[in-house]
Amino acid sequence: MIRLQNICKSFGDLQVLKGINLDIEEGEVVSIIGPSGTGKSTLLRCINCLEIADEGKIQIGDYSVDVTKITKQDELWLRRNTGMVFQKFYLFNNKTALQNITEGLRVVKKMNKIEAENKALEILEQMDLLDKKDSYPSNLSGGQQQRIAIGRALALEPKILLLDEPTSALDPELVNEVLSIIKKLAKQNKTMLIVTHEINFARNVSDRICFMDNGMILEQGPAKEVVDNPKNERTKQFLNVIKTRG
Amino acid sequence: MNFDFGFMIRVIPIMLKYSTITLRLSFFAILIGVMIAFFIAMIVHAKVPVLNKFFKLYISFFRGTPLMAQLFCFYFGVLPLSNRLALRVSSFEAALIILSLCSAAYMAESLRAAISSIHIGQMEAAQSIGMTYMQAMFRIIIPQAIRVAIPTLFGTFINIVKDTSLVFAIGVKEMMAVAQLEGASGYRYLEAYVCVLLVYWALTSVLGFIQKKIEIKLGKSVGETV
Repeated sequence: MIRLQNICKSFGDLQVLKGINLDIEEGEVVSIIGPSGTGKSTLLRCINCLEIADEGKIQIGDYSVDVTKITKQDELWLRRNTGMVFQKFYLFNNKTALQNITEGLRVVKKMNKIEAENKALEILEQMDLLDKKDSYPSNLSGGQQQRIAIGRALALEPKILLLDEPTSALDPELVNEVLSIIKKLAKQNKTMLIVTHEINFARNVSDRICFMDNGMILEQGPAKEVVDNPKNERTKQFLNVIKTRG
Repeated sequence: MNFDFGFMIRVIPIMLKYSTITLRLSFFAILIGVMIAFFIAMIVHAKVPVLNKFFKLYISFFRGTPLMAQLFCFYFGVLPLSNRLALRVSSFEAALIILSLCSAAYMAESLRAAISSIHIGQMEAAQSIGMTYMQAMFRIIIPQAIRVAIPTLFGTFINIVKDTSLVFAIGVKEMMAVAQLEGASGYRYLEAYVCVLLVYWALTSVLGFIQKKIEIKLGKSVGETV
């Protein structure tokens, strides 16, 4: 189980997260929706320690970290137990598709070469990209890159997979191939926290949706309920804009 | 005035013999310079307190003063401060030290810029899968940065080779010194110095050729097709 307690984060004078509390059960898929610049990505980055929150507690399983007293070991532990998928993929440009996945297995999990490669091949197959194993990122489409990036995070068997707008940087035609992979992972009961603007996708794939605005979670509940019958005024307004836009 | 090809051809073997001095000096200056440059670039990039400031000053000093003045100051000024040092450090070694330190300043700057040019996302991705800063640096960032830095690094390599022509001024007997001697022997300065120029040109051309090969190889390492 993942538990976030009172996560606060400011950049200078700008308070981006104003005390986020969120529990995620094992196997649960939670989506965060909301307008841009409301701290959704920052929240994920705080869990993955790419940003260190100013206040709050992060608990993953039995491991609990008070961010005000966080150590380098805590940071490494949190990063090694949470997987991050970036909006812009950030595949290692100097590594092939296969090497992008084996990298973490070899360096972080200290697997031997053969073991790591076998596992990476398995993952590439899952991502339907076995034929691209020797391609470099510069020769892959955005959708392919993002699927490999998901594979790279997944390979380390994180306790939770954090996806930061995984389809926002993709051509419309490539969005579906990535969404269908995420859907597949949801069916396998992978614990996921997804920041997304794909409301319909979030509605279909997640167990729960949180609506975030201005650094706070304003409403959360079962996915379909939040999308179809939002209670909070701000949520209604946000969803209306999206629905009328088509 | 006619150009004495016979004389020039006679001088060539002598020049080639002394070009080994140039080669040795350049090779070791590049090797030591690159190592120091890497060290400095990483420290400046990571903004290590105190050291960061120190190396910025170092870079500014060595890039901002003439090599000849550095050579003279070190060989005729600093070394004689200690009798022991003055006796034990040869002019070749003094030249090597100054060339390495000076070229390191230039290369540190190109490496630092190359490291900064690699998108922050590469570091974040590496850290997000649990790599330490050092692992991310050595496995992901630097291999990509080197590719970016190759053209400017080779520019510095070529400058090092050319700058070795200054070290005769502190008494290293290399091609320039020999050309002066040989040229004086028959008032054939033109032939002697043309010969020097040709040898330098050959040496730097080889570097240019190596650079092209490396660029192609590193291009492949990020999936570029030629």
